[in-house]
Amino acid sequence: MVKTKPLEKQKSPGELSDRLVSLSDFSGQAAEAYRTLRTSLLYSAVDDPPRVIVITSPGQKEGKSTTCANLAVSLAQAEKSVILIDCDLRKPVVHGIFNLRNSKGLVNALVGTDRVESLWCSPVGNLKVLTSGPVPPNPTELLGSERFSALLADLRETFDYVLIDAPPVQLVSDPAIVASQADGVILVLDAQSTRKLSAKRSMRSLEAVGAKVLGTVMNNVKPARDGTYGGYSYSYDDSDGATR
Amino acid sequence: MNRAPGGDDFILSLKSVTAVILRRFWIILLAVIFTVGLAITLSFLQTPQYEASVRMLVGQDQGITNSPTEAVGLQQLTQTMAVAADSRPVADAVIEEFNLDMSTEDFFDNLTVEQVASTQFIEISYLSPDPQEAQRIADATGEAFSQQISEVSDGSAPITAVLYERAEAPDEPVVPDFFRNGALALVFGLMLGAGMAFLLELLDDRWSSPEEAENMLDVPVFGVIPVFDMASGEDSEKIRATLDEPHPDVRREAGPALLSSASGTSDGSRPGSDGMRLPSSAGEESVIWPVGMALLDGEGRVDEADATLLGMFGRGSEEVIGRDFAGLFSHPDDAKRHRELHESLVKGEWENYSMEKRITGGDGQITWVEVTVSSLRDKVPGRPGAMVMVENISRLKQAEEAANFYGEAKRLSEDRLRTIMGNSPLSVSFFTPDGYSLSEDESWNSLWHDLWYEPGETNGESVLENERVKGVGLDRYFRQSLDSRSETVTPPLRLQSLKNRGEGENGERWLRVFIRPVTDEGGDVREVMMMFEELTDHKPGRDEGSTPGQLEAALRQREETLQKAEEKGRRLEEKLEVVSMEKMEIKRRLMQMQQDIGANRSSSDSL
Repeated sequence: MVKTKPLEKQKSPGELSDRLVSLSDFSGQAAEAYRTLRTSLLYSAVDDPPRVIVITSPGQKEGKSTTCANLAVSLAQAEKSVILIDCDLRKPVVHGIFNLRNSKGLVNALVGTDRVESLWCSPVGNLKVLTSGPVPPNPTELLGSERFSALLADLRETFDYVLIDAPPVQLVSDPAIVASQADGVILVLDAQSTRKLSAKRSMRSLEAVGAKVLGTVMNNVKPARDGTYGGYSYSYDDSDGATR
Repeated sequence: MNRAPGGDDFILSLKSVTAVILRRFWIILLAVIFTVGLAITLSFLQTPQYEASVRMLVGQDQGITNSPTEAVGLQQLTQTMAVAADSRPVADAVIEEFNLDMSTEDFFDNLTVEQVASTQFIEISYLSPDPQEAQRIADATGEAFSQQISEVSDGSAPITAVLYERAEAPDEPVVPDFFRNGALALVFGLMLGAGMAFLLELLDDRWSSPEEAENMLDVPVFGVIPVFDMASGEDSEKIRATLDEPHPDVRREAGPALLSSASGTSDGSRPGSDGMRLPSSAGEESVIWPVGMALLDGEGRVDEADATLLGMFGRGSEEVIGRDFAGLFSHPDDAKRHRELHESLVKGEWENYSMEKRITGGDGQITWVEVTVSSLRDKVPGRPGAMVMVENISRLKQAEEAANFYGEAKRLSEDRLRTIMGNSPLSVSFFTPDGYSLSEDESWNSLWHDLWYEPGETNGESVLENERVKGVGLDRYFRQSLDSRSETVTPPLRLQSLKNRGEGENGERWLRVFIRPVTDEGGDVREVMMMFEELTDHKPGRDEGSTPGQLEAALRQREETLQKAEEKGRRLEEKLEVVSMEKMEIKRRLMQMQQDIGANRSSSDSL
């Protein structure tokens, strides 16, 4: 029997959960950056703090889900009760980041009879994660449905923060639909790959549906060459997104 | 470079200019190298030109005057003479003398006449590719000029132009002048490079600072996340440890073990006993799998059913075992269809089928399920029956209905059913958790090989590394399934067929993959089962061809596919046998070892 497995070629595949730097490297620069983001969010509006927050970006692979997951962990570490909903019904990844199964999730809450309490998981204390569930044929309709609005309203009562991981603004209309029902939107920009024009367009399309863009998160920023944390200079050697 | 707040004006400081130049240093360097290189190359291509010159002394009566006033006058006269030397009569005289094959204009192009500043001398230079010729013509021009002057100037004090210094044959060419060309190109290159550097900086679309984003989008930047390395080694252990820590309402767990590699043993005479077993569920209260499984005997009666399937039916095993599967709790509309399909399977018309049907659960609820049945005939010794996989698709159906997709879906499923009648290749393969195939080379050559590999390409490549596999995202599902230790059913994956092998429309093929990690008792993934379902032919709108010739060709092709599938089945069966023997052997050795350990312990106790 000829085995075709070459032993020396084994490589350990990159785990999605390796992106949760807020858990692994608590004192590191990246985790600190996520805590700064958390603080900015907590104190961005004192009178009417945003509680249902959509996190999206103009394009793909700009760090939405990573930012979303790390922010959720940071908030949970600050003793806030947080739920993270994976509203990317086209290419869900949140379950991968938290090492969860995605056999049931948001979609089941929207089209089925499952109670949402039975669908979420709690990978970290204070943090609940509602995965996307099976990929539906009609994500936009589901997210625009009244059941989704009702679900958000329920969750708003239960949790301090509801974080929503939405698909890219430039590619589909889902995030605009979700954003219109949320308190605010955080736009993730990849300092290396997001074009200024697409950032502007994304802002415009979000504002067109009445969504309030609270602020942006500059992701994947390379530190200046002299090592100071003040200036940001970029060179041409684009590493293709060490973080997503 | 900073932008002034609220405006588009650049604030150009010495620092930012330096920064731009330093950052785009390579552009400037490239521009310089390019222009200088071009200049040098062009210089090499030029024909070398030699220059010879003579000096004429202009005087009146005598040669050099010693009177200062006269000297000044003569110098002015020399200017006039210089123009006279560059004149047509002189040129014509020289051309005539040497019978030169050139016009007067060409002659003038090569001739330079100038007064040596503030003297009575005129320098006449002639440029030619041939040094000898340059010398001769320069001399001749001087003589012709001298003669011309003496002809036109007569009287008491005639003006003279004496050939004072004859020309020498030059050694070095004056053209090309590498140094001059190079220097010019260097300056030009620097300017061009700097210009390009600033232009690129101006056109650069990337963010240079968070402030820039704030100014442009009018919202604050909440956070600046530096580039970070993904956790690895200890850190990723830490993450997984944190994630795996039990929290009060963790609901989902790893799936139970699947003893999929067990197959027919040598004595395989008792159907259903040791022939082939269903995945053993780790306790009745364990996780509900999305796919239920059952084994049917030769007459289509249920031999075995797992907990998931019983859960779907909402009935106990006593109500299911031994009953006719096709009619089991089926909706009356579907039962007949199912029976027909199953009969064809029993007759051996095809090896497997898949259908969507409704079943009535124990609580009277109607559930939509997708039933996939594969015949075990000729595959597992002593098992004439079939293996059934039942997937609950009610949620999908509901979602479809909710979106008015129902009509479309119904049409699709009917179309699909029609095409399934013809051909539904289904292939099962086993993989290591690293994605390497455990199958033998030959069995690969069928579906899997056709799909992913070029002819001749080896399959010693992990599914996690193969580019075509990655292209359709199958590696993602594989990993996801592995991570969650749970079964994953991919949506239909579309892949571009290899050239000359296009089967579906536009050379596309559709494939659905069921991935199920097989865990051992310790919860570690031992191997991964992947079941590939070919959907290409199920896609609606495929035309079989209308003329008898086309029809015949289609039928022949179908026959070939079926033969191939049969062949594949046989190989799979052989492989299963080997694997099961290996497993038995390992089990036996394990028991032996345990006994040895037990014996050792008892002997040490007795000591």
